[in-house]
Amino acid sequence: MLDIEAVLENKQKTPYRGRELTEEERQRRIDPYRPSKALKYAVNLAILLEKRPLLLKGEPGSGKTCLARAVANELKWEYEPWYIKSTTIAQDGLYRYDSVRRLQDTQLAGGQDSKIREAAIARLATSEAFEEYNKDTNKGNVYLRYGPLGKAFTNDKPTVVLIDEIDKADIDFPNDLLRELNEGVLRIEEIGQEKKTKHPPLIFVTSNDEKDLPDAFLRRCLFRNVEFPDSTELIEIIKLHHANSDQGLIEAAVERFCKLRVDMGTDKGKKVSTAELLDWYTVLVCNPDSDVAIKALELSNNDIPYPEVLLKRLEDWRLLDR
Amino acid sequence: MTSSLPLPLLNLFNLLRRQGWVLGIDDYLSALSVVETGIGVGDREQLKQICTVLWSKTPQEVERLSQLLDRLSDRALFTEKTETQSPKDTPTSFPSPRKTNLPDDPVEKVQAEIQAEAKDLEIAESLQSPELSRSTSSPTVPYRFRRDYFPVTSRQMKQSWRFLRLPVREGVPTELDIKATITQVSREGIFSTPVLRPRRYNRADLLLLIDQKGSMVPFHPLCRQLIETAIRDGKLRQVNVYYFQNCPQKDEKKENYLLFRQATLFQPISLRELSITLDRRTVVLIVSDAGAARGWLDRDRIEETEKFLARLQPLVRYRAWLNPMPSDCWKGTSAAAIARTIPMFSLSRQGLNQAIAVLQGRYLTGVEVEE
Repeated sequence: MLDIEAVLENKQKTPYRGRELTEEERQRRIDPYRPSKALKYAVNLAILLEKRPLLLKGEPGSGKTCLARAVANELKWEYEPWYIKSTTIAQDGLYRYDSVRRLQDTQLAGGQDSKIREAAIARLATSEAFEEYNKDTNKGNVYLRYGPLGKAFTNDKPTVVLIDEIDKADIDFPNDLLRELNEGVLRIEEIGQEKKTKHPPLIFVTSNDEKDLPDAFLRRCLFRNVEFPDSTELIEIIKLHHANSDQGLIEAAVERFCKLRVDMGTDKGKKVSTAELLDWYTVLVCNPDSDVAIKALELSNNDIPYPEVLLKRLEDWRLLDR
Repeated sequence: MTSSLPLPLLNLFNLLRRQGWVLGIDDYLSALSVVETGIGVGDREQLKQICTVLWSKTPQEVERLSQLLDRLSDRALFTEKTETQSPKDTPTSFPSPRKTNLPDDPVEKVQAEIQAEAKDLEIAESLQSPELSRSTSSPTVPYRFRRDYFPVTSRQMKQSWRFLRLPVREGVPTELDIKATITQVSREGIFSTPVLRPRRYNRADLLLLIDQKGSMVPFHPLCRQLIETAIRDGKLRQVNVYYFQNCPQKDEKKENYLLFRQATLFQPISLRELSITLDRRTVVLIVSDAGAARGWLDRDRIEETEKFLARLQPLVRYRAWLNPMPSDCWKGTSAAAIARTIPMFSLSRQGLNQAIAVLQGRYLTGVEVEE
């Protein structure tokens, strides 16, 4: 049977294996991540096919956003996150061209073309340079600033781009990105240049399903639903984050946590997530005597230690009073 | 790959397309390019993974795809046509591109051999059991209810609402006014500061009047979706929703029309009270079947409705009517009569767009119904 990882290696591409962190990475305080088998498969398919963004859906706190960073970290690719707001437009992710600055510099240069750059550089010497201009090498455009996608397109290294919570933007936002994603070409109208990608970026898109995405965009995406991990997976995840923790305490905490998830019912409301479990466990583990902590978990059938970390709705607090 | 060779997964792809999935040739080619590398050939689980990641876009679609895949036999899955091919042909017809692509690699060879054996086994199995019972009509065909089985999808509604606009610049100046800036530069001879102007906001106010209960019961979910999309994603300044049954009734003193704040027809509000909150910019959209659902012609209802519409007219800017019944059902009912006094459209995508065009001030007569 041919494995997707083997195929990728055949094609001289590094597959994503979701390996554990090295000692050096742990010292750099990089967060560990434990992808499910299906998720790894989806990431590898995206690497294989190129140009196709991977759309991730799932409960809040199930690790959609963290995946992109984890992949970038393991593959040693650059990482460009783009956090979408309700006012974000597609252009923000590509580039910004500061025409007003240029006009100002033109005035300072007295209308002489050759002196515009001098004037700009003189101004930049005293101000924070955020444009695509390198002070040391004196190269680059003084008025251009790339967004996350623009950076990925012009980068010399392969890049992982995260488009986080794409559903927060306007309903037509995803469609405005289609051309760039399809062709892998960044057109800068103001200076009449085209930049072609050297390495097609690996793009992750997360959505909380608040708005439907346009069909044309969906068609170009790969899709994976990030499932909630089962209890054995949860134990492994905690172990990754708290390496030297007591096994008994981890199991007790996960058991209590899973019971709480069941108690919360199947209605559409927010359920406790993996991210909250990790926070909760961080508090639990503060207890120097783990046996006491386990007892506290076992005793509390209708009660939970540190409920503030887990329960965020009034209805959920009522679960405790029963 | 030539056309005479059977194409893997084509059966499944066509099946999905027939079920209305938005899939293009591009999507099929992507799947093919994955299968051509050798991944998933003869392996159901891997094929399922590939197809779900590539073709499904919601958790529901993942489930449906996996159900469909389970129902397809191996032959139906891997080859183009099951009926025309005799079983003897199938071993050669399985595409195994790796054999031709990478013949030198010994590991690959062994893998290919193992796979070929596995395939033979599968074929032997499929020969033992009758093809019919495995592939097609199983007695329990899984199906699911779709909540959004509407003539207009929620996304289309949102798009239509976007056309209801009354842009006004107001608030803090934050946007660069290029024209004014250039004028200033040419006047003063030097560029000092850019000229800013306030952003454009949508000042359109929408009043939705919704017929409830009775013959409108089947359309309640549709109306709810219409309201929800207008409020959440319409980008309108204000959306007010009031309800009535059949047509707005007068209060006890026979002076004023009563509408209700709640869909359950509670919390009455008189039209006079309501009119205080309306300014001349408000547009009103009425959603009602106007008797077309039951096919009634009710003189009183027509008269009452016309009186109410006349009372409403001076309070608002434009009016339109959406009828959830298709326009060919209006003939001979109250709806046809009412459609002569107000632009009335059926609640389809086109009808909604036309109604909104009327609310934008474009002159459109409603659907003409012959008497």
